[in-house]
Amino acid sequence: MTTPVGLLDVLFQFAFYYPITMSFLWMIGGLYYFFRRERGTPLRDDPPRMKAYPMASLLVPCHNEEANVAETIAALDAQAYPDFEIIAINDGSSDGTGAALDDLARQYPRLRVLHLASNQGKANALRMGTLAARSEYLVCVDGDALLDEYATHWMMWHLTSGPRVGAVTGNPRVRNRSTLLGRLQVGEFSSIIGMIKRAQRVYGRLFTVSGVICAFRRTALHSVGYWSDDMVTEDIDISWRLQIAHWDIRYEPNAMCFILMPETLRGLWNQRLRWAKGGVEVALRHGTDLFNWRRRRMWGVLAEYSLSVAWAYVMLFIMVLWLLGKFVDLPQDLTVNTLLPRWHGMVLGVVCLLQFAISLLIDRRYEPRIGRNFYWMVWYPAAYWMLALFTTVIALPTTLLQRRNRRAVWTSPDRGLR
Amino acid sequence: MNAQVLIYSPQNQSNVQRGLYGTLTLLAWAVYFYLVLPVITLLLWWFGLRGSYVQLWLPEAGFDRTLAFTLPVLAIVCALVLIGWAEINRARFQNRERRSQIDDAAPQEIADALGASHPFAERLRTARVATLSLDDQAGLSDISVSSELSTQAPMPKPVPALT
Repeated sequence: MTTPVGLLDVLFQFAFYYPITMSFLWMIGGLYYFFRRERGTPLRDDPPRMKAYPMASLLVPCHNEEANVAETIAALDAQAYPDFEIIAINDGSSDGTGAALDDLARQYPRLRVLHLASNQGKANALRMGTLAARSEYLVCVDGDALLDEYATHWMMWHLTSGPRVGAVTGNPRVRNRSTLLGRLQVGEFSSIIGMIKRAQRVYGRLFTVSGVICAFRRTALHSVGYWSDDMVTEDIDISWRLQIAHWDIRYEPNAMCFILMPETLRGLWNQRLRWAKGGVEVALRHGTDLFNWRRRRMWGVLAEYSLSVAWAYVMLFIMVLWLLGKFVDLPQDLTVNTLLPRWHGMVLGVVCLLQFAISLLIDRRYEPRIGRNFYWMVWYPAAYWMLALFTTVIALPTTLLQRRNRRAVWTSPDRGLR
Repeated sequence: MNAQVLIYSPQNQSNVQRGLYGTLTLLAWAVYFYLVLPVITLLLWWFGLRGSYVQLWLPEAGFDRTLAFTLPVLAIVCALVLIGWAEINRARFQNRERRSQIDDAAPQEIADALGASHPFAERLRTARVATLSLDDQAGLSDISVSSELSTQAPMPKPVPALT
């Protein structure tokens, strides 16, 4: 018995050529972005002058951030920008976050504090912060992140540079680098996330802003109905809705924000599963809206995402066939002899490492000694691709089966070793 | 010698002239390479590269030889498509705003959209420390403003811009 048109051949070709093609696109996009928009431009501590310096409202949603919120607020208060207020939203914390924020309000005149009587989720915390804001420009930072002192200036420069700039996403940098998982994520944020954002900007549309550091024009948010409170990842959702409504989203690598990431396998798994579910939710909710000629510029984003999900399932199918072949006699065309990568695996590995090398070269501009993390990246192709594969495979059915319209509330994540 | 005395302004030539000279020079290098090819062959043989060829390239080596063709072609196609697209957009839209400006949303409109009554929204905008209650639709149903911290020092005035 033979399968039509060598099914396994087609799947193997897809499993190989999809990541290679994406890697080529990301490398080319990253390099193009660097040569067009970064090389030779002012450094992070020398942001461009602006015609005017309108007030900025810095929104900080906090849930159980007692241990982190003091340094977060201190970093925000130290922004090198002429006119801003800080609005911390204590979203029904059960620890001492509320009292800590009240104390900080006595210390920092720019700080305003909103206490939500119960946990309402990040989207609703941001919505209340927006309602309280005195500015048209909102810089949203997570309650455990440290914003670089020039970041507000860089993002405000973008927001004021054109009337249809709806959002600017910053450059998250991993702060905790003690363990192998921490160091891997340093390289990941540099080479995967930073490079993808550059390449997507070259294409013209972003898959998502970074929820941990992003600035918005309030009118843009208003036009799309603000953040949805029933989405697992409100940042992916708002990115799609803004771009569907023809608002431009910029990426500013100089707007750095130092963040805490999980350093345990369980914490990492939970975080990535949440991200994967968020992607599925957004694609399911907005995917069909995109089949409209006026929204054609989002087709590339949808295609990239859909292919990544398809790739995860193809890889799973190949693994299942290999496992089945251990117990059952399969037709010749469906026999997978080994999962060990050979020449094709070598090519994938080399291309992946080349991508890391290029991204770290680009990223040296923002962190001079970033190259030392290249040593640890050898784990990335195997371990992280597997993580992405399995979280995607699990996220799709669980998202399809979950109860709809349920409000997404906070669960405190693993924040690594301090 | 001071580098400033050197004159290097290739951009003062026309693009055609620059492209032509560049292409002709590349062709000259190709001819030059053809002339020294026997020497290169000798060196490759000397350093055992023929062994690598046998191990990697001949059919019994098991290497997918089509990759040597498909991967460079794939990389070139990706580059042409992405950079071409970016340059087309750059040419069409750089320094040109296609879409009209939208007026800033008014505070009342924002309050309506976020489920807050106008008086509550106004109190919230002026509050320093406040406790908020939300209803089932996540609208603002109650606000209690702290009297202690509202008497603290006012917001600092804007500082001069960076110099």
